[in-house]
Amino acid sequence: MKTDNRVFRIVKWTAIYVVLALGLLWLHDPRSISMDAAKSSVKFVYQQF
Amino acid sequence: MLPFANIDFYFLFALLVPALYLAKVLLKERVPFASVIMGLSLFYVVVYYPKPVQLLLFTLYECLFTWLLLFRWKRSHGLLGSLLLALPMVLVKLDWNIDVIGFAGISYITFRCIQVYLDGELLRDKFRFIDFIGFLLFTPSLLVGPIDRYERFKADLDQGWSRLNKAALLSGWEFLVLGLLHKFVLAELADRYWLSTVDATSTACADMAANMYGYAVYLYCDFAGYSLLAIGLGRMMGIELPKNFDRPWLTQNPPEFWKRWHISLGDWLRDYFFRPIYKSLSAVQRLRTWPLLKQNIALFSTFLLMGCWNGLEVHYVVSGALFGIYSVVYNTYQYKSRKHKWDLWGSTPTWAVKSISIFVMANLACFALYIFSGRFPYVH
Repeated sequence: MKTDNRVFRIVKWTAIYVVLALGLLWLHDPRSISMDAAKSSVKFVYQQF
Repeated sequence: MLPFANIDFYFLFALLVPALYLAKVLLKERVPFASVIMGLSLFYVVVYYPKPVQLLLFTLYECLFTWLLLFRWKRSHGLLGSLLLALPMVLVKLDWNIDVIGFAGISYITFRCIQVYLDGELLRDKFRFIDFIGFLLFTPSLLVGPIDRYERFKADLDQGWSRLNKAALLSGWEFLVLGLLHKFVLAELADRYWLSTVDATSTACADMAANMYGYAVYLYCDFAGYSLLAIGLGRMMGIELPKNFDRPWLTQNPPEFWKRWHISLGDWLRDYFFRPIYKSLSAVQRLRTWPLLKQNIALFSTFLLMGCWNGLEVHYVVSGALFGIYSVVYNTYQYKSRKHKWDLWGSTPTWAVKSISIFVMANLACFALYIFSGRFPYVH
């Protein structure tokens, strides 16, 4: 039963990750990704020191 | 940058969450966990949130009056106190072109303040400003909830840095992945390939059905996805936000629907609106012998308020009233069938009764949400 649960969990999460990855690539243009917020927060933290 | 709205937010918290775990190692003995959560929430508001000045001034207003009501004026002001705390939100909802005080998420902060005020008797000894500000401005639940309770939030803060652990990180990650799937894949699919392809103004039956079901699927995926993201990030930051959706399409009646759809709002309205109204009505001498009428007035007013809270546009008010009518009809049926021992279903098998109830409830909810959307051609 424990093995079944583990197998079910692996299959479930593999399916979720695959659908998520394909869905994100298909529906959202990866070229529109900007790093502005990450850059400014790193800069902000850096400035504190 | 609004929470969870775009990729920048995720990059930001991909840095801030590890920084929080690093702070656990470096600051554990010196800085309380609650202060760091408050600091992080304030940092996000000041640097990234749209209209930070309005939000901070509003928070100041809410803190000041919550303190005055709890510790100076005491609780005798009941309704007046709640109205005072809700005043900025009401002014924004009335839409008198006073954008200067409006900002995204004003309602949810107001709800949290009213909860603290109305539970004041129980919370007075536990009240601390650092916790309170962290509670009001906690980034994951800042924009659209879930509406947490102060005592629950504070219990997590009181556990301190131990809230940040591997189990919290892993379970938070799972919620986050599910939230991304709901919001950015399923809701996007429903919007792009279903809703956007249907004429929203059409009065043809097929188009109206497509609009109705399409909007219900879109809204559920988008809102449940947002709530999952908030719960996930909250857990990763050591705070366990309450569940907001629990398979709402499998409910058999209106009260059960509101225990599974936007749960935290349903619970809030029950505790801080329905119960006080029912209690006030119970004090009216003429209504003493009319328990059903009292329940139905309180139920209908609660759902009408919920509709008005979304905005004073006709479609919001009518959709709230419709949910109120569903609840009143079901409550009356329950009351009468208990009193007169009705057996409407006779020898119908339980599975059939359950299936029919689920089908009817899902369609009634979809219809009310269709009106809520403003896409219903006869009410908008």
